[in-house]
Amino acid sequence: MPCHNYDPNFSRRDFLRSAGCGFGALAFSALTGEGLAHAARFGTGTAKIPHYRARAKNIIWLFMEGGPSHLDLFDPKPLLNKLAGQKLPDSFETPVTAMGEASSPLLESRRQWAQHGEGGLWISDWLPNHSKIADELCVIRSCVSDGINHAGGVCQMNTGSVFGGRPSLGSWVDYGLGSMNDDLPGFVVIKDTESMVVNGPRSWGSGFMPSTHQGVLLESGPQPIANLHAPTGYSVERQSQKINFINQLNYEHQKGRDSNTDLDARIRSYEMAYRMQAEAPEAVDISNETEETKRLYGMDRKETEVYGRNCMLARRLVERGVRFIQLYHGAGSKWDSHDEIEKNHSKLCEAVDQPIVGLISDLKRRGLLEDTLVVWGGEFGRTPMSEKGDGRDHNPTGFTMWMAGGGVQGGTTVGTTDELGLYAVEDPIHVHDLHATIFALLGLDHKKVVYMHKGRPERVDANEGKVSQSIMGT
Amino acid sequence: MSTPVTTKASRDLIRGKKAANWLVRVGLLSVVLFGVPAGFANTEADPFTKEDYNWWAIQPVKDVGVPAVDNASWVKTPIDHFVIQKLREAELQPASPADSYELVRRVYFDLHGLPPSLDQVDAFVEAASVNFESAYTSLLEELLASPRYGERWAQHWLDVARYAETDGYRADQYRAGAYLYRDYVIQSFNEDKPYDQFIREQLAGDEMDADDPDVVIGTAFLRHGVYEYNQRDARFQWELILNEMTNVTGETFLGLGFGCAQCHDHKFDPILQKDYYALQSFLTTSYWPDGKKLTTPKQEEDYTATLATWTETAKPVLDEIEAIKRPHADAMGGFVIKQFPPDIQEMYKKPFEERTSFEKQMAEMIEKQVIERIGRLDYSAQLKSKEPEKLARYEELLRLLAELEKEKPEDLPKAFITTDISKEAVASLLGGRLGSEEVSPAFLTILGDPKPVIKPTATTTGRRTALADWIANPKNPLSTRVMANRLWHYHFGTGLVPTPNDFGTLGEDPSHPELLDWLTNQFIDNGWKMKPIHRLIMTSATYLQTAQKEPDLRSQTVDPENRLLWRFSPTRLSAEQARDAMLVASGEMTQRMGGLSQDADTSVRSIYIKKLRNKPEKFLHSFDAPLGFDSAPDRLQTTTSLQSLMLVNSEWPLQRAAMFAKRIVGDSQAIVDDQIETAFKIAYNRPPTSAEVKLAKDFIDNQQAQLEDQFSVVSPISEFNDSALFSIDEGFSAVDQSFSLGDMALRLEPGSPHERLKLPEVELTGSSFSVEAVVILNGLHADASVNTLISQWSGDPSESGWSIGITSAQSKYDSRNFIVQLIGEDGVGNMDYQVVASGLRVPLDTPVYLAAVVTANKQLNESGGGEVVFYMKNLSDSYSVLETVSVSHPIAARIFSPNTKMILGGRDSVGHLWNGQIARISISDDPLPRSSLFVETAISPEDRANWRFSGANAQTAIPDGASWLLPTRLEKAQDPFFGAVTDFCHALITSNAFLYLH
Repeated sequence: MPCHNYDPNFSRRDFLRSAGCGFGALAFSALTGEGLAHAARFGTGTAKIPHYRARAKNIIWLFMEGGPSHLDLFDPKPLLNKLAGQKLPDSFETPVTAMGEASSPLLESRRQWAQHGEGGLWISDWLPNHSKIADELCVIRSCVSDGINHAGGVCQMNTGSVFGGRPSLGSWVDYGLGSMNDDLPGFVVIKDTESMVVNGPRSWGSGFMPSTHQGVLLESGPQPIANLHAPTGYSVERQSQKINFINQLNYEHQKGRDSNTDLDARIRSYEMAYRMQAEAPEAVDISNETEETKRLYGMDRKETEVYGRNCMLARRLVERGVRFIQLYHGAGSKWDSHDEIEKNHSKLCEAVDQPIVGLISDLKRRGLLEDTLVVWGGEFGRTPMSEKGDGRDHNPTGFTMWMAGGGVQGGTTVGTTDELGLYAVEDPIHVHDLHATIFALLGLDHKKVVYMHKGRPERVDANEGKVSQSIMGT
Repeated sequence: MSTPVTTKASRDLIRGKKAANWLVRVGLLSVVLFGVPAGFANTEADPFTKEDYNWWAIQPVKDVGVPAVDNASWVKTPIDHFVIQKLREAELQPASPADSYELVRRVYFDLHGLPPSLDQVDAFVEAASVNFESAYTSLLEELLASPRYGERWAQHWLDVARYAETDGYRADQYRAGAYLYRDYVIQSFNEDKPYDQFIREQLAGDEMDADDPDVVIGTAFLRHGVYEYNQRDARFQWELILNEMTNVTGETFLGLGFGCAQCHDHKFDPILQKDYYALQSFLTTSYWPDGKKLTTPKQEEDYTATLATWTETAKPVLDEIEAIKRPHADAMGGFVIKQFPPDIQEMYKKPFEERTSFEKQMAEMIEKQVIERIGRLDYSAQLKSKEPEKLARYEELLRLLAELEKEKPEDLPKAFITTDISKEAVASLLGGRLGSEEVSPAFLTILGDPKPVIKPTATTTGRRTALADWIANPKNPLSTRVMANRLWHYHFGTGLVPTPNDFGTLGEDPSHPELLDWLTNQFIDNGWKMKPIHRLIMTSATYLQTAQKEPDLRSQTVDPENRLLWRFSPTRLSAEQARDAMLVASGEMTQRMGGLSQDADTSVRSIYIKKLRNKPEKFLHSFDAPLGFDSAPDRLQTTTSLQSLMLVNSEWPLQRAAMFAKRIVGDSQAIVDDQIETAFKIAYNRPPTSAEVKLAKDFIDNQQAQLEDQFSVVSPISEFNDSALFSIDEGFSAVDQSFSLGDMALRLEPGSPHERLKLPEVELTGSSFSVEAVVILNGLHADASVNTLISQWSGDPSESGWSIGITSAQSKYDSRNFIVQLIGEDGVGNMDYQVVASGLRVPLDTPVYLAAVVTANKQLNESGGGEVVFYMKNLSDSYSVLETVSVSHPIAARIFSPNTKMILGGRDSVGHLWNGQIARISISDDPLPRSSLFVETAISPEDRANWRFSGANAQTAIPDGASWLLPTRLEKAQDPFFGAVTDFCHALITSNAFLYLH
């Protein structure tokens, strides 16, 4: 590919690239200005005008990596406890599971269940604080994915496909809506452990799109972004003189080459890299947050401190115009509970319960919740069948996620699984539908945000999703 | 296309005449008049429209004449006739020729992917000034004959072939034999292998010549797709693999995105869903063998014979080991098998000869996982828990085997190839799992080519050969044009068809359709060879144009994208070009011819760097190298802030800059204009302008002055007139009084006179010891160096020693990992070096308590080994608890080396220094239980050194008998002059004139 050069006009291909095909495309393309030089920014630069009235401007995705058990959190199944110890009845289709546990005895749920809030949502005693936000949650009990393993599951939840190569949802959002802050990335990822998320950085990669749309891993501490600071021994003055000199050489080179906008983009990107050294640490510096706020997020307790801090960072990033924030919990498949689910989930649920409640409450009291869609879930749920006596296998055929804020109707439940929570039976919502629906909540038409790739008009939903009217509440 | 003449005739009938086209729309009539075009049954209506039949890409390649033009002074080759004709029509003027500097840089990067050396630039510029034509021709010949050519052009093909060296799923396992395909591609380009042969080898090398490893390896092409090592839904996984194979074959060789047609007739191109499954049917019987070796039969025979001799000697040991292992392996195998769906298990349980081909494939999917899982079975651990009485014998046997294996013949390379599971074809089912309609091998319906003639071989269906023959047929309008276009694309940055993997209707039409056909014919007429086409293109006036021409109003209006080539399009260096050019500038590049892939911190060309799908090399990834998940026909050119941060702040470019600086100024303390000019010439491949030289001189002067100031400034922590001391309240105020710290903390700073402290003798005996400390770590090394807290080690992994520290940014163990390095004898008396990593992450700039209790004890476990118990507590946080981790290791004895100094803050060698403060440290000769650690009790056990720090200066504060060691080397970057030159060189290799061909 040649440089972008100076071209402010659209070629037919650029038009298709940014606009896709179909009649609605015209509107999107005309409004976005995609194709103008935008390379020096993190995201696509200018914020774009969505297709519809957007209910949400930002997303915070609470990704419980490894697969939390819907059967023990949001989807009570009395029959499961009745049939515990027996095999899956013949009336159920035999699923293919990761560890081949289709014929293992059913495992009871030891949870105490109660209905909460005006909507009467069922939430188990593993998430005691969630009762306070029950009326904010739209619990989707009928989620469906294709990935029976972590790699495929996490990949599909992020990109729509079980194997690599496609852009992640955050990249699509950045592509479709652009950035609201030139000095910070539009798509930020934070994880709670030192372990890597399954599949590595491509979980937030931009796939076939330019890497301008990729997610950026944010870490706590003085160097939140990789290579943000010069190595030890490089003072601020030294660094600034050097960057000035690089750009002096670049200006010299640019003479007579003004039409090549890539050259200019790089000059600006050096300037921005320098500016970011100040911006990014400020965004993650929580020293000015009050003790009350820190407590709200559970930062006063060791059990909840880490995720509490991450949830607070998410709010700070939303305030600074970051579009898409993904907070991994249990990075490295920690929610995976093939055995000892009681021990595993007790600990993990405690670690997220107060931080999530804190996040929702804080967003709400600051008036941010109505513009911010919060999504909770893993890459799949867990089976009613047991594994190793006291664990559960992966279940992508029916599991729970929830949404809050961003214009979704709280205190509601969407879809159902069968009586044992194995398959989604009513109003099944595939990952593609979930992505299409999130787009709709952001005011984007999933059929119109198109990226041309190798002759195919690619969409966020792999051309297969539909907007869930039950979630939209229309 | 075994009868191309008939085919062409029938196609011409179908679409050639307007009347006939109209008739074709009336399905039945067409059948009556012209017979049924192959591919759809006579009961079906023709699924295609007139427009479909007129699709340019499926028209036969025309025998076009070279257009006559009157601008004889500009044109050099027939290519120019086509180009100037279009430019004239658009009222555009070509650019003037590139000067010799611009051209020599372009040509080297184009053919070799590397910049020219100083001498190569000078030689060409001089020769060209005498006789341009001959200088240029001989330059091209020289470059085309060099092995560097294959390394550059193979990269293009590897992109298209989605080449990578790992599985691409969670485990992302390394594919041991994959690199042999990379070498095969390099070799194929270097020997200018005809492309039709190259196609055949990659699709059906196993059917062409199963005995020739250089041919069979081509089939790795079908095997580069992703694979999930623990996917129990075997059907689903195999379907994904097949679809991937089908898509990549269609895109690579035919320039068609078949993907859409997997689920429905293509919405934009005349490709039917049936066509997708017809194409897939050529591949449905394939599989990825694991046990095969990539050798000739003779090599295999020799190997087998030598191995047999060895096996005879080793037999008693081998048999006994096998007898011990077998039950555990079988149990694990059974465990894996049971996780598959019951019907797949049934297939696996059937005797081999009773399985259908599909069942064999499914059984193979199980077998792969069984072998993989058993392969990482820890038999010692199994025995320990289930048959402890056998453990000692087993480990003794392993030792015997290790001895025997010294005589064992070296293993043959694993064959990372594809072949068929049997000669009985597996049906291709339309609709996949749910489908029932069987689709037999056929070519694109719209082309109307007759059904393939398929001849099975002894072991395969012969289907892939039929597919390869059709693709490699000179009359195939798609495969031939696609490759001719790729060659153009890589030379000019944009193809005549700008979408090289997509000749469909959503791709763009060719800018110069006649030129594309003319070039395609040249390609075929030259025996499908690439080098003649390189010559044709590169000697054209079109290629020789300068990129330094600004658009005028006319070109901006009618051809802003430069499709008509009114200048040479500027491009950025690709990932590999940029990385390789930095290594050339620094003088570090080492050339090689093929071989195992290397880690990114080596000096080999980028094509030889390990290509890990889930952990891509950071520099290459940042510059848009594809990840290898699907066929990549072109490279994006992104400019991001993250990329700029990587260029200015990451260690790799900085190191190249330092080496570049050393190359320019050596150890001298002054730089002259000539040296500045040389640096520019190395980086930009041209002499600098006077303005550039002036900028550089000013910069180096200013930067040197600035650095002199900076380095002379007394560190702000020197309130006590001693940078080695730090008031305890400065960093450790939050630490509980029970730790009874002194008034001061020692501050160890790399590059200062207080880098490392040699401790007074502490006699450690036996096989265990404990170290506890209260410290702050202020910064990590930017490379993989360890931040050593304390050690008694020379740094040589073959000499006894131990070292306790924290890992740095680039460490294999991840950063801030609390580790112990142990070097001693293992259970059988061999010297071994082990990194025992706790996984505990030490926070920076925070007071922490650290302890390591090390045992290395033969008695503990007869086979040798011991453990390290790590403790860590964040002392700034009163809520934090004492974290603890035990890690076992195989070192059993001799970790103490009495002659080696015990050093605080480093090793008895260069580097690996601590940067931070130490408030208390104690060492015990015993493996202290938790209850005796000072974090838990104020009562100190006996027999240990126990230091706190109080005093007026660096000498009085340290323990009696301790002494500061001289810095092992003056950090070069801390030398103001060298630092300034390094910064100058760093700017050169990160500036636009370096990164762009413009």
